[in-house]
Amino acid sequence: MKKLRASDELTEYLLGASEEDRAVIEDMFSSLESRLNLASVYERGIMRDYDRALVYLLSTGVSPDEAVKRLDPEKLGGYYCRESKTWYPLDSSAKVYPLSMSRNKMQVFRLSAYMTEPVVPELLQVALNAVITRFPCFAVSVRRGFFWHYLDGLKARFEVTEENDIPCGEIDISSSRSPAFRVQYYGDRISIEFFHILTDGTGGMVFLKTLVAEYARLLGADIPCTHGVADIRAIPDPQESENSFLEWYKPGPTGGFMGSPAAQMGGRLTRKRPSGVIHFIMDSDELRSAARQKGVSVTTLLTAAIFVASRASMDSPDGNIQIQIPVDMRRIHPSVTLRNFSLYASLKIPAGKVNNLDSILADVSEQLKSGTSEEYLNHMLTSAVMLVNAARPIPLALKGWFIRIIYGFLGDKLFSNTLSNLGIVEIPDELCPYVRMMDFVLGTVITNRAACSMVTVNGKAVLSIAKLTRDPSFEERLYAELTALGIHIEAEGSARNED
Amino acid sequence: MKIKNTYPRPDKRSAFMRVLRKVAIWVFLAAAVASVAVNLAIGGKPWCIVVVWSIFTASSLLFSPLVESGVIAQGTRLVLNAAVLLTLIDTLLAPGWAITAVPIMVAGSLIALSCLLFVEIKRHRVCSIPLTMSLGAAVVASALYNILTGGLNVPMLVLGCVALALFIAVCATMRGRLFFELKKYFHLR
Repeated sequence: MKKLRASDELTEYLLGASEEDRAVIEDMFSSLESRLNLASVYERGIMRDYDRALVYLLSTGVSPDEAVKRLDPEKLGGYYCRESKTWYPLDSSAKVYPLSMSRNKMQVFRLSAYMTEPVVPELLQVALNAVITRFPCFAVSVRRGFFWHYLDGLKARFEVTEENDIPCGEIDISSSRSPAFRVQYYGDRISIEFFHILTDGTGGMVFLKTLVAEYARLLGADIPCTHGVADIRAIPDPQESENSFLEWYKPGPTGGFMGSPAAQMGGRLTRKRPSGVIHFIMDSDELRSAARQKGVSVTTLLTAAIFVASRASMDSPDGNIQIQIPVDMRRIHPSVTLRNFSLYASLKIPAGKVNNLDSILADVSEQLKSGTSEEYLNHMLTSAVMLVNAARPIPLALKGWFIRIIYGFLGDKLFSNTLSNLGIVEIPDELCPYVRMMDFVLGTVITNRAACSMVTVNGKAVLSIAKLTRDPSFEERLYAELTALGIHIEAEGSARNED
Repeated sequence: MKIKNTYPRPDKRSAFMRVLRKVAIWVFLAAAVASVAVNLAIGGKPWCIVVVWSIFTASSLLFSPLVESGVIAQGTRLVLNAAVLLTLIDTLLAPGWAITAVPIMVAGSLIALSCLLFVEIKRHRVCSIPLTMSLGAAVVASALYNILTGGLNVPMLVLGCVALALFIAVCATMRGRLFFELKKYFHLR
C-alpha cells in the first residue's frame, strides 16, 4: 500500500489479523491504488476514505471478506485513472443561471433522503466516490467561455460534508476545481444540493436514488438497479447529457415568457437566502383523498391552497397572484437526459378574487390544464431555443450585463410563488426499509418570499417551503388550509435565520 | 403550528467581507460620479477618466467574478487593467514615459503568471486560455507597434520577444490540449 499510510485503527487490526485476512485487505488497496491517477491530495483522500470505511465495517463485526466485497474498488472501473476530456455546453435553460447569479443569489435546489438510521459518513463518502463515476455530467466545474459558460469535466474527490448551514445556500464555483453540487449529511438525512446549471429535479433524483442505493449496499443490502436507480458499473449513456431542448426544437409559434409583474407577498426580505425551510409531512393517501373529495388533482389542490395562503400574506388586494408550476418536459417528449429539461406553466388569479379555496379550484384546474398542454409548452420550448440562438454571437461580457438587467426586472418578479411537484417517486422495494421519506427544497431567488416544492415517496408526501422572510403568515395559512381538509401534518424545519 | 427543528444552527460567519463590499460599492460609485462632476465643472485635462478606470481596476479585485476567479485569471485581468490605466495616464495627463514603462510592466507580469502556470501545469492548464491569449496579443501589439512606427522601440521589442517565447513554451507544453481548450472557450453551442 504505497500511497496510503494506514490509519492507526487499520494498522492495529492488521497486526492482529490472520494471513488470509491481511492478504484480502492488501489486495483491495492494491486494486484501489492501481485505479487512481489524480492529484496526490485526491488520491490520498480516496485511499483514506476506503481505509475509514473498512475500519467502520470491521468494527461493526463484518468479516474482512464481506467488507472487501462491499467496498470492491472494481466499482470505480478506470474512471479515476483517465484524464478528463469531457465537457458539456450548457443546456438551453441553464445558460441564464450563471449570468443571473450574484453573491448570495444562486439557483440552488436540494434533494434529501431520510434514512431509518443515522448516516454513516465513512460509507456515504465511499458510495459517492463510486456513484460519481456513473454520472460524468455531474462531475464538472463551471467555466467561462468567450460566448457562453460551459461545464468542464473534473476528475477529483468530491467530499461529503456535515451540514452546518441553512439548505440551498450559495455553492462556491469560483475555482476551476470547484464542483457545482455538494453532498451533505445531518443525523439520518443525506442531502444533495445542485446548482441548477447541472440538472433539474428529475435528473437530480436519479443521482440521489443511485447514491442512496449504493450507500444501502455498503450497509449490506442487496438493491437492484430498478425504479430509476442507475447501475454504477454500466457505461454512461451519452443521451443522459444531451440538450433535449435542441433535440425537440421545431421552428414554429412561440410564446410563454412575457408577462406582467405579479403581486408579491408581504414581509421584509432577509439578507440570508433562504432565511428558513419548513416541511409539511403528510400521508399521501389523506392528501389524495382530500383532492378526490374536491374533484381535483393533488397539484390543483395544493396550488389553490398556495393561492389562498399567498393572498393571506398580502395586505393589498391589488395586482395578480401568479404561481409558477414547473413541468417536466420528459412527460411530453421521451428523453433520458439528466440535464435540465423542464419548462413551466403560469397560473394567474387577481388577488381580489382569491377569497377561499373552493372559489378558485375550478379556475386553477382549468389554467393548470391549459398551461401544461403540449401545445403551450412546445411554443415555450421554441421561444427558449430561439432566444438562446439570438444571443449566441454576443460575447459573454456584454450578454452578462444585459441578462442581469432583464432578470432583475423580470425573472422571479413575474411570479408570487412557485410550486414544483416531483410527484410520486418510486424506489425499489428492497430500498424501502432503509429510506423513511424524501424531500425537495427549492432555493429562493430575488423577490419571491416563498418557494414551494413537493415529493412523495413511500406513502409520505413532503411539501417544503423555502422562505425569504420572517413573516410566518404564508406557511401558517397554508397549514390551516390543509388541516381544514382533514390532512394531518407534521411540521419540521430550520430555525429562523437572523437577518 | 409547532415546527420541530431538524436542521443545525448555521455557523456564525464573519460579515466583514460582505460589509466591506456593501460599503465599497457606494464609495466607488460616489468617487466616480464626483470625479466626473468636478472635472467637468473645473475643466482642464480629463483626469476623471483615469480616476474612473482606477476605481474599475480596484473594484475588479474586490468584486471578483463568481466563476473562474483563480490566481492566473485574476492576475491576467489585473495586468490588462493596469496596462490600460498607465496608458491612459500617459495619453491624458503626462505623456512620454508609458511606451517604456508599460511594456516592461506587462512583460514582467506575464513572466510571473507564466511561471505560476508552469509550476502546476496540470492544475492550471484548464484556465490558461486568458493568459495564452494575452501572450498572443502582446506579440501582435509589439509587432504592430514596431511596424507602424517604423522605428525600433526596445521595450516593445523585448515585450514581443518575451511574450513570443512564453507563448511558444505554453503551446509546446500543452500541445493538443491547447486546441481543445480553445474549442471549449470559443464554443457557440
